[in-house]
Amino acid sequence: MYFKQLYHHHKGWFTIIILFAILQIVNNIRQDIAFSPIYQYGMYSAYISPKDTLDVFEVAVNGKPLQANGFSPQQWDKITLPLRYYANSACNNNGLYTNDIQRLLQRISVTANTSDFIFSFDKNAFIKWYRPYLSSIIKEKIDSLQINYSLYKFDSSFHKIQSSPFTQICR
Amino acid sequence: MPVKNTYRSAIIKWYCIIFYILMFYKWMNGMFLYQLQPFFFYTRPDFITWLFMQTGVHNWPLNNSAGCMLFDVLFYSAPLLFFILDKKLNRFASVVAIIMLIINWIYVQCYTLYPSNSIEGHIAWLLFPIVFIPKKEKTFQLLFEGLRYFFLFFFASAGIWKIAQGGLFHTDEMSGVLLYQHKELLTNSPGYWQSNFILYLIQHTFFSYFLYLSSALLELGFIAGFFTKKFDRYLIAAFIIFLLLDQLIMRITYYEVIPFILTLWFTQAAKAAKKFSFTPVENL
Repeated sequence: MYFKQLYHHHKGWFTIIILFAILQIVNNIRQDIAFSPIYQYGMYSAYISPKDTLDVFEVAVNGKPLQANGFSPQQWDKITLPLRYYANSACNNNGLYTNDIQRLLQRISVTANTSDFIFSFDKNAFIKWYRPYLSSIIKEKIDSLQINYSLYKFDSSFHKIQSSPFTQICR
Repeated sequence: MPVKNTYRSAIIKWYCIIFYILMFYKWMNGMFLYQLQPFFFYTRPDFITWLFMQTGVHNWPLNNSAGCMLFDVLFYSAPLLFFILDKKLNRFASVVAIIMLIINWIYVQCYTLYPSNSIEGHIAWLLFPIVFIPKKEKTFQLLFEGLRYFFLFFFASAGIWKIAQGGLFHTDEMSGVLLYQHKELLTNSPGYWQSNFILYLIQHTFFSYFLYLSSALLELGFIAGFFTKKFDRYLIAAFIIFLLLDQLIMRITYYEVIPFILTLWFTQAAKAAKKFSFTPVENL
């Protein structure tokens, strides 16, 4: 009924809307990579079994560990997301570029510029940026900063079993 | 003097009100681009984003405070500019809507490539300007109705995914989700009321699965909207409950999809507009 009305009213908009709807459904069925603005809205739909080992980022400023309860969800994301992105970038970005980006862009005769897809930086450059960035969020001068990537064992409570500097992940 | 486009104007007005409330909320939480001070980007699996990245635009705001501020100014002033021009110089409204669409696209693409938020959560800013392009009331109304169907799909598909991907068939699903989502809060803030509450849910799979099942049913409830508009007000309530519980239980702030609430709220107004052939609609 809706599409019929739209078709009779404006064939141009009808074509755009029907294409969007079809692409959205096909992309969802094929479970393909996103095709902005075509996305999948899973919202934790895959099975995630409760793990007994958890990997977490730990940030200590001036010898004091930062606690998530002292920050809003957005502020805490601002603190931890760069760490997670940095680690993921070090682990996966090259793979995504060499396996998919180059190959798929080549199909439409586009030569990918590596620097537009892979951000190369070393840990020192990251820390140099992160320190004042973090300071502006926690509103505290940072004399010492320690960031660790730790593993915790969970039974009924949490026990730290391993800890290493986060910059060592995948590099 | 005939009153034209009242329905369209009312929706544009409310879109702007929501946009600027969210703007204030984001500024308070340090979520403007200039407050994020992006230093690097992270490539996501999205073909259109790759084409966008090929232009190199996303590199420009990196370590560039003035560039970030310019992006913020353009993004946050566009709706106001559109609102004013739509009223005062209506013949330029379509052009300004297209400019707003382009600004939103560039801003959201860049913003979500930096450590900030997912692009899916910004879908309202990507789609709404399209609806504002046509000036004809009837075309606008039909596109706006299309947006309503998209919003229904947005939620309903989340419920369907939970069946298709199997999350719904595991009673310990929500315990796993909560452990994954809150691992840092749980390990660095023991004893905090929210940590205790989440830990309780993790350890009592019956309660946590009940929450997961309830959210899936709530999402699936949006399917009803494809067949009738009778329940739109209930869907609004369900949507608000979902957003609030998402913040309370998941610590996820999904407020940028709030503009979609208009597509349900104005259902009755659309009916009225149809009835009166898009002549004045009162009390919008």
